[in-house]
Amino acid sequence: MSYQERNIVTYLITGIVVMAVYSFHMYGQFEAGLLNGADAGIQIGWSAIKLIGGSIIVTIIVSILVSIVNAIITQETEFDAADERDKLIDLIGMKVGFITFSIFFVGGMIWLALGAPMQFILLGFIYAMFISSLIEGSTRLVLYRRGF
Amino acid sequence: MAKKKSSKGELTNNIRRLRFDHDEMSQKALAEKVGVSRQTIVAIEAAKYSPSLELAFQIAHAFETPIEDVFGYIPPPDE
Repeated sequence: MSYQERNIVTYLITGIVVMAVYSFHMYGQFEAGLLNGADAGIQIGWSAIKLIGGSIIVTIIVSILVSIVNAIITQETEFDAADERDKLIDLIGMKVGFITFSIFFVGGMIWLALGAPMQFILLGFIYAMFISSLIEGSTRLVLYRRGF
Repeated sequence: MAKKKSSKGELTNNIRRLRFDHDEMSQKALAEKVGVSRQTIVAIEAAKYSPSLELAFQIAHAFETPIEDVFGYIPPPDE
């Protein structure tokens, strides 16, 4: 597995773990009735800020740990700089992720127009971002493995 | 010879043979010469990735041979 592929797998696993913790946290808030009151927007806003901060910190820590473990196992300490193929794969992945999020965004707007509660739309967008990033990472991984 | 088939024709390359002819140059050595990762050389050699024109010329230059000796193109059959 190449350096870039390893980064994508790390990113995907970290994302899934962080979102699982976030879902558990939000379910607790939902059970407590905090997502139905007048302050639901504030709760979701703070949870999103914590999610972003937490994701960054966890990703950095996991990346460092994976690099250390990989260096110990493979004895390789050099990191491949991104070349033209990596950049092209990144671009295709971003395009697929953007299209996915756009579909969710339009769906969310339609749902909102049909009278869905605002807090569910906000939460839906957070999950749409997560699913889009999963699809982006998976697309990049497939392109690395299968070629294009 | 590795081939990449598409509706626009077939791209071929002789990188594996050229590496062999150049004192069995490793993929890593070639990658370092042209400034890309080893995985990119692997993908090009297996015809899973078509390099940019610039990289194709760099690879040809690394083997000190014209680009047509490294890469080939077979147009699609007329329908």
